[in-house]
This record gives sequence, C-alpha cells and structure tokens, in this order.
Amino acid sequence: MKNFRILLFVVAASLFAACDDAIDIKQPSELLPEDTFETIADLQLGLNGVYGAVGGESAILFTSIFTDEVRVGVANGGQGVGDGGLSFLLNSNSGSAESIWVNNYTVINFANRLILGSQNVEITEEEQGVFNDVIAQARALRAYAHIQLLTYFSTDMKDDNAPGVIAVDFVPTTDQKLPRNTNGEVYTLINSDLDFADANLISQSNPARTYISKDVITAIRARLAAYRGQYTEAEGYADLLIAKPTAYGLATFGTYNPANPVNTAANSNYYRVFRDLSVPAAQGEVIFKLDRVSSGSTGNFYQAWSSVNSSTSGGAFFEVSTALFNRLAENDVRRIVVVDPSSYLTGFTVRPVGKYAGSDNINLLNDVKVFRISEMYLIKAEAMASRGDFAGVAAQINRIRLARFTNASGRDIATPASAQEAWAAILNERRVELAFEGHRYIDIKRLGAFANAGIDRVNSECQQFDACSLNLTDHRWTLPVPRAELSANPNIQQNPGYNN
Amino acid sequence: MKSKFTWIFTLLLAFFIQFSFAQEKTITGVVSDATGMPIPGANVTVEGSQQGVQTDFDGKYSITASVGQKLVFTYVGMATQTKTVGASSVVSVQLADDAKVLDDVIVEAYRTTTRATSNIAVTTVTSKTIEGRPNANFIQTLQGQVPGLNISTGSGQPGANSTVILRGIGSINGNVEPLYVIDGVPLNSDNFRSINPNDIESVSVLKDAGATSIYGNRGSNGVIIVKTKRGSFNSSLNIKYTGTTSFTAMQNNDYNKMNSRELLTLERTYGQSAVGRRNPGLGNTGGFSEAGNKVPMTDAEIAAYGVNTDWYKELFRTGLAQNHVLSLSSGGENLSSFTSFGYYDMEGVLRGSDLKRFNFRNNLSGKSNDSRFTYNTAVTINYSVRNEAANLGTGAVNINPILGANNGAPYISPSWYTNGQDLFNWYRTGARPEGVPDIGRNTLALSPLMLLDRMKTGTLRTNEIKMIGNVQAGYKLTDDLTLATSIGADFTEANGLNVEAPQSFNAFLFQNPGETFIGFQNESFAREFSFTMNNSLNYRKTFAEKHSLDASIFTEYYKAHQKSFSATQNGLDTKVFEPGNGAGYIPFNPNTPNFYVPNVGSGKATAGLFSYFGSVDYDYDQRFGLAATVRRDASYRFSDTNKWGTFWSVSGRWNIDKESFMQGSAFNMLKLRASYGTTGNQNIAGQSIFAAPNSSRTLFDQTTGYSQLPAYTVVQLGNADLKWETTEQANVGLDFEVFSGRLRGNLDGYIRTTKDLYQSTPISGINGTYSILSNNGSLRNSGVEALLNYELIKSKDFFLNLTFNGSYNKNEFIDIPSEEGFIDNGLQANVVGGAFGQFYTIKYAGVNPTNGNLLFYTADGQLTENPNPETDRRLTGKAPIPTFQGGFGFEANYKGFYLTTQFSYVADIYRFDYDLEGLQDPTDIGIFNKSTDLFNAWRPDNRVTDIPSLYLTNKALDSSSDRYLKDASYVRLRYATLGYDFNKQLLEKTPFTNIRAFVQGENLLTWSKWRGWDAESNRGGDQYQYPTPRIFSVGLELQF
Repeated sequence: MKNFRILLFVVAASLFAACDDAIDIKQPSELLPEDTFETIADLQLGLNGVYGAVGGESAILFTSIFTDEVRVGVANGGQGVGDGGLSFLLNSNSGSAESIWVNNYTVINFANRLILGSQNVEITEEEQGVFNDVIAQARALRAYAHIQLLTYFSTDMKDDNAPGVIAVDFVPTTDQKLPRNTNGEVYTLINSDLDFADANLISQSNPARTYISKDVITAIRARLAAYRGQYTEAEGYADLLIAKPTAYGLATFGTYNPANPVNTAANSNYYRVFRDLSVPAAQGEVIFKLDRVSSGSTGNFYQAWSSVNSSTSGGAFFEVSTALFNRLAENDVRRIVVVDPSSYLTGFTVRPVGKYAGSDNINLLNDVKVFRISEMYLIKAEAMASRGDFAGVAAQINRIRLARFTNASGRDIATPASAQEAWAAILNERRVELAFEGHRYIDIKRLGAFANAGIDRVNSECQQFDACSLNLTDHRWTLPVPRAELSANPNIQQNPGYNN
Repeated sequence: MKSKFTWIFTLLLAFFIQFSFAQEKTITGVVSDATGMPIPGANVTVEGSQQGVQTDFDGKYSITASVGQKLVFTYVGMATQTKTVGASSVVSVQLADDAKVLDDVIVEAYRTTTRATSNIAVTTVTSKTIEGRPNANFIQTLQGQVPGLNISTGSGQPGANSTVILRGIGSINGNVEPLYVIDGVPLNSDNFRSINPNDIESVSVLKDAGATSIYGNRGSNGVIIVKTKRGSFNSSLNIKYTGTTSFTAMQNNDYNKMNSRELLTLERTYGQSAVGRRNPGLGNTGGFSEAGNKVPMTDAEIAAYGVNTDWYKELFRTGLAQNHVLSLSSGGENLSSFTSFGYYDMEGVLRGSDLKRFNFRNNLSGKSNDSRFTYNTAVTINYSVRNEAANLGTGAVNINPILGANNGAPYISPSWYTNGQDLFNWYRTGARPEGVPDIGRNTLALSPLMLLDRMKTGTLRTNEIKMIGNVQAGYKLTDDLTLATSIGADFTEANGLNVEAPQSFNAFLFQNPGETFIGFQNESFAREFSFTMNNSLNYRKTFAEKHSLDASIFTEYYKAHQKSFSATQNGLDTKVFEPGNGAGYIPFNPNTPNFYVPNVGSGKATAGLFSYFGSVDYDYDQRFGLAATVRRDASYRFSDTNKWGTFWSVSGRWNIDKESFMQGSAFNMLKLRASYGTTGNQNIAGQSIFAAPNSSRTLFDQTTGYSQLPAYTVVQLGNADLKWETTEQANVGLDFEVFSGRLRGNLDGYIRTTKDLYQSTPISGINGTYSILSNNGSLRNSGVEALLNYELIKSKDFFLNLTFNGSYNKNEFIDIPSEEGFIDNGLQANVVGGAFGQFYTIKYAGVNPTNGNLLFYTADGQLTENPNPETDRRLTGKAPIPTFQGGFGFEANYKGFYLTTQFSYVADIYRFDYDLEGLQDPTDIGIFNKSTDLFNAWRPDNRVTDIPSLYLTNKALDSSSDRYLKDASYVRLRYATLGYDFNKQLLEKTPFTNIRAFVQGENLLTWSKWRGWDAESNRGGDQYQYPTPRIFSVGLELQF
C-alpha cells in the first residue's frame, strides 16, 4: 500500500505538472495588436494593408449590371442573372450593398488601426516627415472610403442634413452600435482628413500614380465638391489638375485604325492606358489608380464579366450592352477599349467587356482607375452647365473627344441649346468615357433628372427581365443599408423605400 | 454476435483425470445447440473439481462423476447450463442460443457493465451487422440501426464522409457530431475511410448524460465507442478469410432528361439553339436574348440528326469493387492475439473515382499468471489511395463532371473529343472535327467535352497513412483497488496531389498571353498526431453481499499537433511531366515574372486538453443502482478566465423485475432508468480540434497587401468571453424483455438543451466584418426513441427475427440573441420555436394562367408576380434535418440459408432540388439539357400547367421561393443479404470449419417523392453532387 501511494503520487504529480502544456497554448505566429507597430517600417507595412483593402471592383461590377452597361453574354449559363441586378432587384439582402459597405469600412478600420498603432511608435526627428506622410496617406484613404460610402448610401449628397453613413475615426469595439451621422458630420471628418493629408504628404504626384499624392487629394476634392453640387470649388480643384498637362494629359487614339483595330490597338496611348502599358506622361491620363498584380493565373475581374479572358472565346457571362455599344462610333478609339478588340473579328456580334482585359501578361487583371484627367474636364463641364455656359460645356467635352476620335467625322458635339441638353451631353459623354469604371449609377442619380435621361437598355436585352427602365425617383438609386448591418445594429437607419 | 464467437473460437482446456472413487460412474451425452446441431469443443466440467472434458466432433462427451455432483456445460457465446447427476448415466443438453451472454455486456465510458446493472442509454451494434458489408466507411453501415442516430452521406465518392447526428443538431457553428473513441483513443475527426470495418467487434452509441457526461468537454453530441476484435486466452489458431466482389451502379432519377431530338425541338421553339447553320445575315445580334444567329432547324433536319448521347452513360460506369480480409486469432495461457490484413479496392460509379486501401491490425492481450496484471495493445496501420472528382457540388462547368452528366446536351457526341488542344481551338474559333455541326463556339454547350477532357487529364488524388496505437495496462493493487493506464496515439498523414495537365483543355483555356508552358501541379502534405493519456484508480467492492460500490478517479491529458506543407508549380513541360513527379517543372524566368512562380505554403498548429474526473456507481442487490460522475475540464481554446468547465451527471435505475410483485409475470426483465447531467462542447468551429485555436484574441498577421507587398493587417477580432457550449440532458428509459426474452427492447425519452451556442453573432460592419463568433442562444432537442427485437419463429430449422427502431426528435430554438429573436440567413432563418436551419422563403403559388409567369403569395396571402424577396418570405416549418428516422428489417434462417434485410427511413425532411431547377430553367436553353417537363410549359393553348412559360419574366424570383423546396422523406431497402452456411457435417473431412457464401445489395429500392438520384443527403440543397450508388456483392467466408 505504501508503494502504491508513492506510485500514485508520482503518476499524479507528473500529470499535473504536464497539464499546463496542454492548455496554455499559444499558436505559432500570433501577432498581438500591441506588438504590431513598433517602427516606421512596421507602419509602412500597415499602410500597405490599408491600400490593399481599397477595392473598386464590387462597385464597378454592381454598377455595370444594375445600370445599362451590360447585357447577358453568349456564354452565360445563369451566372449573375439570378442575382437580380439585371431586373433591378435591390434589397437589404443584396450582396452588392453588403460588400460595398463592408469593403469601405474595412479600409477605414485598417486606417484607424494604423493611426492608433502609430501612437506607440517612437520616432526620431528625421523620421517625422515620413511618419507624417504615412499617416497622411492613411487618412486620405479613410476620407476616400467615407466618400465612397456616401456615394452609394447617402440619399442626397447635396444635403448636409441628409442621413450619411457612420463616420468612424477610431478603432471600434465589437459591441458598438452606432447611428448614421449626417452628411455634414461625415464631410467634417473627410475634410479634416484631406486637409491633414494635403499638409503632410511628401509626394506631389506619385510617378506610378498608384499611391496617394497631393494631386490625388485635389482630385478627391474635385469629385466630392461636384457630388455635393458645390461647383465653384469643384471647378477650382479640377482646374488645378487640368493645368498640369505635362503630368496628366489626355491620352490620344494614336495609330488606331478602325479598319483593323486588333492589330493597331497596341499603338494607341488611350488603349495602352487601360492595358497598364507605358505611355508618355503628357498622355498619362491617370491621376490615381489601384495597383493590381498577382502571380496567379486569374485576375481581379476574373469570373465577373467573363470566365476566362476578355476575348470572344473567353466565356463572356456579360457583354457590353447594345445601347452603350451604339454610342461608340467606329472612329472612336473608346470602342475597342470598352469592347474587347477581338470582337471586331466577329463583326461585334459577341462583345466582351474590354476595359479590364489584362496586364502584365495576365488576363482580366488591370489596375483600377480611380481618377483620370478626363473626369476633371467633365467636372468642369458640369460646373459650366450649372452656370449656363453651354458653349463651355461643349468645349470641355470636345477636348476629350478630340483625343479619342481618329477623324472629325461625328466627333464634335454642337453647343447645347438648353440646360437639359447640356446635362444630357455631359451624362452621355461620362457614360462612354467612364464606362465600366463605376460611375454610371451615381451619374444617373446625380444628373439624370437634369438631363431627363435614365436607364437606357434596348428592348431585346431587358424585356425578359421586365426591367427596361427605372424611375429616376425610385428608392433604388440609393443602396439599402445591408441586412448584415441592420441585424447587428438596431440604431442604424434604413434608407427610405426599403422595408427595413 | 453469438454465431461469430461460436464458430471462430474453439476453446481448448487442459483436463485432468482424477482417481475414481467407488460411487463414481461414467456419464455420457451429447451437447447440441438450439437447432439440434452438435457442438464440438464444448466444455463439460464437474463443479467443484478439477475435472473437465471437451466434446468431440459429434458433440459427444464422456466424464466420470458421482451422483449429486453438478455438471457444468459451457461454450463461448452460449448460456451455461448446469445439470445434477442423477440415476441416469446419459446427460444430454441443448445449449440455448443465448444472445444475452454477449449482449449483456454493456460498454460504458470507461468500464463495462451488464444489461441488468447499466443505468445508461446505449445502443450497441455488433460485428455481425458490420462484417462483410461493402461500405468503405463503417459509419454508413450503422444507418438505420440505432434509434436517434441520423446518418446521412450525400456523396457516392468511395470512402465519402458521412454526417452523423445523435438526437438532433446540438450546435450551430460548433461540432455537431459525436466523439469517436476507438479502443480508448479519442479521434480528432470522423475520418474512417482508412479503418477496416471487419476488424470491429462492436460499436456502442452512448446517448444520455449519464453515459456521456464523463467525457465532459467532448461529450455534448454523444459518444460512439468502437472496440476492435481480440483473441481469447487458451484458444487454438483460427483463420478466417472473407472475400467479396461488388458491382456499383447508379441509382435512378426521375428528371426525365431530353434526348437530342426533344432538345433540338425545344431549342427551336425557344428560338435559341446551339445547333444549326450560322446565319450571317442576322448581323449584330447573337447571344442570349436575341432570336439567335442560327437558322432554325427543319423537322427533317431534327429527325435526321444522328447524335443522341446519354451523358450518364459516358461519365458514369458500373464500378467493380473487391474486398479481402484475412484474420488470425489465437491465444495461450497468458497471451492472446488477433491479427488481420485487409485489402479493399472500390471503383466509384463516376469514372476515375476510386478508393484502394490496405489495412493491418494486431491486437494483443496479456496477463500475469495470477491475473493481477493485465495489458492490451492494439496497433493498426492503414494506407489508402483515393482518386476523386473535383469541384463536386459546384457549377464549375469545366471541372465538375456531375454537371456534364446532368446538364450536358445530348446532341454533343463524346466521339468529337480528340484532345485538349483541339477542343480548345474548337471552343475558341469554331474549328471542329470534320462533319460536326457548328456547335459550341465560345459557349458552354461544349461543357460535356470539357469534362471528358478533365476526366482524362486531371488528377485529384490523396494518399493517406493512418495509424492508431494504444496500450492499456492495469494492476490490481489489492483485490478491490486497480490502477490503470491507457495511452493512445492517432497519427494521420495525407499527401494530396492536384494536377491540371499541360495538355488539358483547362490549361489552354487559362493560358495567358506570352505563357509558353501551362498547367499546374499542387502537392500537399498534412500530418496530424494526437496523444491521449488516461490514468485511473478504481475501487470495487461488495459489502454484505448486497451493496456493491464501484468508484474511480481519472486524469486525462490530450495533446495534438498538426503540420502541413504544400507546393504548387505553375508551368509544366508536356513531354516529361507526369502527375506526382517533378520532371518538367519550368524554372522561374525574370523575363516572364508572372509565370512559372511556385507557390508554397506551410502551417502548424497545436491543441490540448486536460481533465480530471471521477465516477461512483452503487448497486443494491441488483435491484437499485445509482451513479454519479463529475469532470473538470480545461481547453486550450479559451481565455484564462474561461478555461475550466465542470460537467456532472447523476443516473439511477430500478430493476422492477426483481421485485416480488413481478414474480410470475411475462417480464424476464424490466428496468427503469433515469439520468440528468451536463456535457460540454469545446470544438467551436466544426469538428477539428485545431480550428479557431485562439478566437479569444485579436490578432494581426503578415499578409499579402497592396501590389503583392507584405503588409500588417488585422486578421481576427478576438472575443475574450468565449466559453463552453453546455448541454443539459434529462433522459428516462425503460429496458425490457418479455416472453422468455423473445421480445426485447428499449424505450427512451429525453430533453436535451444546449446553452451558450457558438454562433456567428452579428456585429456592425464598421469593424470590417459583419460577424464574430460568440456564445449566444439555446437550442433544445426533445424526443423519444424505441428499439424492438422480436423472435417471431424459433424452431429447429427455422428462425425469424424482426427488428424495428425509430425516433422522433423535435429541434427548436428556445433563445436567440438578436432583438427580434430572429436570425435571417437568407433562405433559412433561425427563430425561437423553430428548428435549426428552418427554410424561410416566399410561398410559391403556381403558374399564372393568364401569362405563364410565376405566381407567389405575399406575406399576407395575396397572389403576386412580383413578391418582395425581403418581406414576403415566410417561415415554412420545414428543415433539412429529419424529425422521424429509423429502420426495420428481419433476419431469417432456414437450414443453413439465411436472409437479412434492413430498411431505413427518414421523414419530415426538406431541401432544395437545384438539379431540377437547372433542368427546368429556360434561360439557358441552347446551352444545357432540359427536362421533358418543359414540353408542358405554359402556352396560350396550355394555360393550366405547373411549368411556367419559357419566356417568363420573373424567373429570378423563384430562387427566393419554395418552388424547388422538396420533400426528401424516404423509405429505403438499405441492405439485403441472402446466404448459405455449409453443413458442418459435410465439412468434417475438409480443413474448413465453416464455409459461408452470400449475395447482398445496398440501396436496392427507395420510395420517395424526391426526383433526384438520391433522396439521402446531408445538405440543405443539392446540385451537381456525386450520387450514392447501388451496390451488389457476392461474397465467400472461409474458416480454418
């Protein structure tokens, strides 16, 4: 018995000694928030994370399907049709609303975590400038994400008292249930971020155009002012960039030959811009784009409009709509950018979306163009339309068309005779120039009433969905606050027209 | 159970002849079994002496004994009989086929008891049921055998995993399946494809808290204890061989797919055909919604169309399977062993899918001369290779072969396929084989040919090594006190191989500009090792003859490690590359930086648990029993404050048949049991012990950020409050035997409530995600179960036994954390008072006779063509887990012939039939095959129909409705076997002791409203899934 006691004691003791190693386990590579940001280099890695979270793809895809940029494609076996975008199905369960909402809040969250983490970083005096630059970029991205949210979820960006989105300049806790701020409150946060960025950014114009620079801040401000209807400011900011033709010139058609676009396309600077090929700075076109690289065989627009590539045999789930295609003149280089050039060989019967055909030898992978100089001209045109300068409107639009058309046939638009015509000319030009860049939805919402124009689909492509037009006053011109947010946050307010 | 032991083992006992006294005489006689068959090798001993003999081949014996002495007749697997020697010198006995002998052993958590003295709810399935069945995974064999145990497979891939749910779903996000314990080693997962079913002695399903609470943090969903076979001490060598050959074939479906003429006619009607002459005059049209750019085919052209392919036949086959098992068992005085070898090879019905397996097992038992020290070891080593189809259940038109089988157009001929390059050229440019119509350029109509290519060129293979070993040892410190240790290890290593061959269609399809070498090979390696050590001290004593006490204390230590590694090479050289080999890997070239870059990944993880626990069991004169368990458990998953949990149970029984008022009643046995207790579930994210290892902490990680540059981002939001899911269960049960044991059964009723459910709880999107895992809400399962066994006929030549089991389980939420007590998951919703996963859809009303559109009901019952997919959804009361399930069958024996059948059924179960949806969807006519149902589509002259117009305008809304939510209840003849045991007398002159031949079938007949291949599934919706096959086998069993 005595022996047994000793034995039992030994066994029990060895077990209890060993028990901690079974239950106090830290997995390999656990990185706690407080250990993440310790040096400037860490902050720069954090900033890469913030940039990486900025996504334009879901908004671009939603816009193209919900508005009038696509029709059902030749290889569509049901892909994307059942989601209901083509039939204007939009409700709080819609995936687009859910992803646009959470993607932008992810950017904001990452930026806020970086800003919070930066408080623990000890820096030397020489590092102060770089430190400020990192924070400035993070805050600029935070501002941009807030603007994106307002673009889709604010009922009326021109009204500072209208419900906006939740303005977040802190790292939230998981139990926070915040109501929407007014647009005005969100603008205050956006402007303070942009002011800080403008004051602290080192780069005036990032050469690769893939990072935030002071010029990007100007472009953000121009667009925001235009969306708010503050056209004096908008024009002022747009002019600042238009005044830099050596940095941000309009790209031209180059040697584009409408009779053989497949072979000549590559020599067009405008075409090259969208294939992310090098062009002279004076025809650089792009102010800011999101860099997209991948070592995989699939790109960021993989399985969106096409299953394999943007050629006519690439399995087009969606193609460029007939209504949009009809606005693309043969001598307009934009025809073989919006539609893939391979379409020419089929007589444009199959018209895959060509704007994200691929780059770096990878199909369907392109940088997402966020700001281009042509948008600045069009913002300027809006400002002119708003003050009745119709000749000015035509002049701005024609400056763009001059760069895009191979000859004068059908190139220049006449001076609009009325405000409605002027707005319609701007809306139409934006439709062609900014096609598949995520503008069409907000443009119809902002300008449709002035231009007396809305969804433009041809009957044969919309009848089967019973969705050929959507009233400009319809509630679906503002996205619903997603179901996922509503179920977590009883204090959030749904947009009008949606049931909850 | 009985028969196996009866015929496997021949017991040899040494016997000693003593000197005879005057009053002794020689007794002779014959020992036979219930059917009158003589039993060779039965033991006959004289009670209280060393004297004993064995019966000879004719069952005869001869022994000397005195009048008044008692002769004891024993044989393994049969009830012992005692006869007092009287005047007669001939004493013959018939030993009863007393199933009770072995059935009476009840496997409990850490001990065994008898049927009479067990307090718990347990159902045991023995080797008799499991042996010889052609299922790779023995879990499938348990289907319909255990009341309350719902087993659904839903895949015909050989060795496919099943979903096993005991007494209803008890968790939302956490593990829902029982804990599996093989020979005392708890397994991390229910990966049984590597285990040889023929090695299994018994499977015991522990159900109530009295049984499972002692497993504490892993007992919440029940426990399934598997014991493997062992040899017996003092037994001669027994060799047994079982071989079966099986044929697997598709089950039928009722989708009524079109043949090519029907489909061409439909396409012409619809105005969209893949076949036909291209019409250049139509110009800028083409595509989906236009009338098409083809000239419609004439009646004559359709009639003359020569191709009519049944893609089921092209992509499926009659699979061949073989299974060989050789087992050897023997035992000496202090050592016994059981060794088995198994080889199993099964072709799936889907071409290219198969499973090959080699098993080895060696179980040893040993003891010291005084039997105070005993030990057992078990080692099994298994190696399996399986080839699987990829992307099953997905709409991958170029990879998932089931999609081609179900939806491939019959007017495409498999003979048109030559190779991947040609097919790609055809798809891209329309360049097709001579004489083939212009089909499929740039469209997915060529999908079945793409899938043929994938089958020929693709590889998805897993090699798996699985070893389980354990050692158990016990030492009797005193007569009452035993110290025991059990150490077990479970090792699994899987090597995966996934290849897209460089000559395949898909490789060409995804070729990038400038990329010369295409295709990829992914090789992966994953190893899991877990270690369990259990130490116990047991005290067992009977006081004053009537008071028995059995008490134990335990500690248990568990640790598991995982290691994985994978590498993908992009870019392979066609000439030298072979799947699984590294020749033909194209090296990285800085001029083409996006190609030929290998991707590598590596991971490791550790998990652990620690517990100490105890149990006390008290019995009074086999009339009353009371037991209690308590367990303190710690899991590595939770924060320090929530790490430890305590789980306990009490159980009791009353053996009513022992009471005096029961004397003379028909009941041989009547026992009332009751238990109440708690169990925990610490597997918060499914079954893996490694999943969600640190969810209590907010973590950053080094991730791939902008421009493929490294970045630091937050990857997990921690929830420091995470803790155990706790299940409280009350159970009342009745065990009974009537009419001399001919009718036996159990009845059980239970209420099982799981609290603090792991759920993804909604959080505001400002956190960058919409949900976080936390403990919220409660779910209750309440139900009744019954198991009955009735020996209807028991005569010398004919034996007929009927079995039935059934259960009813009601699953309902009793608390849901959200404001409205409602969690909307789109097509399903969790709501207080409703079952888990209840479907939440718009109610479909039918086809509008005026225009052929779909009609639905709004929430307030109005008919509408345009319901609001948000607000018009209604709770259906239908869920994908059945309320009723069970099985029934019979076993019959007649002069060596035997017939066993087993039916299984489930009822009140629903899921979406998306395969049917696809075959009835008019929007992709011209690309995929359709059901002949569409000929009944609404037309102005056919207004009353259940098929909408081909041109309906509100098709998108049916995905939010219950239009394709179908009743999946079924009754199935799950299994039938017909066999013959050769007459023992005929075998006397052969080396064989037993020969048995049989034919059997699995999934022979199914009665169901479900139109698809297989009414059985573990999903809420089915599309493009691998159907389970029907299996026919012939087998032979030999014993030496």
